[in-house]
Amino acid sequence: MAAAALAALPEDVLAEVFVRLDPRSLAASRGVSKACSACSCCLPPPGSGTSSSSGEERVLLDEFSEWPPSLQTLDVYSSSTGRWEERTFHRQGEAARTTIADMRMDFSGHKCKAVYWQGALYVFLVR
Amino acid sequence: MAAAAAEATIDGGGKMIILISADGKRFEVTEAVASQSQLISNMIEDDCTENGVRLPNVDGDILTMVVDYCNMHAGDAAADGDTTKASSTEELKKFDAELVQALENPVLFKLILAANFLNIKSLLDMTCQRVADMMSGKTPEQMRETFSIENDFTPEEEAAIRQENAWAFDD
Repeated sequence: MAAAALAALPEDVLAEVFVRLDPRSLAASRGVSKACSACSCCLPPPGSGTSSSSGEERVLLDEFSEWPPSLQTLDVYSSSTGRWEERTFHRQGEAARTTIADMRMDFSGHKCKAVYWQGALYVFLVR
Repeated sequence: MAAAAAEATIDGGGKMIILISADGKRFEVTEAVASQSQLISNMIEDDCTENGVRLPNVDGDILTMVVDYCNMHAGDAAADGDTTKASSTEELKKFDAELVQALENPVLFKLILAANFLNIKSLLDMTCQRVADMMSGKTPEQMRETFSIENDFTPEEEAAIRQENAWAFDD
């Protein structure tokens, strides 16, 4: 039997715990150990909707829109201000020829699909 | 009587299945009880439960808890929207709360691993929520203490993380 400890839990199970933490406790968990730190910073940003409403430019997405979109507005949690803020992300590089419908087909598991790291949003794609 | 008919199929349960723990303990349960585990549900569909289901990474004491949990929750999914079951909802909540509250950490983590392996989503949700509740509002030091985790950061790494997450580290 594997050692029954928090840090010995598989990464996807650890993520199940961390998605349930409030932002402050989540940030604190990053200072616990390397395993906790590696897992708690790979969580997708909460509240990531598929339609953006940034005022001047409004992009409506449907199942056949390309993913990731060229422009996407999301609420992100800022660790410097301690608040949720609206951020607009511009895609770098070409479209990946993936649609939202393609991504939905792969939503079976609990794997992380996006990482918000140092002001940039990294999106994992399956082709 | 639709309710009575549903009740009968649950209690009748159809076939029985034998679950065998890592240490050789045997548990006889109905298909309805066992199929709350997505893993076993798939095995039932594939007709490979004839000779018992061996669970080489689940100890008998943990499997006892899992079987108790599944027995308690067996009516759940089947009796969706059945008002005659409403009275037991409170009972279930109480059972669940008492189950996770009473667990020592190593047992809690073993139960999480078993719920994950057997793919019993409600049990995994409940046990992970318990761990999250135990972490909530704590400093990294308190989290380490609660879960007996060794600090494996170098002083430099720890300082960098502290700086980056200063807002969460200060009280």
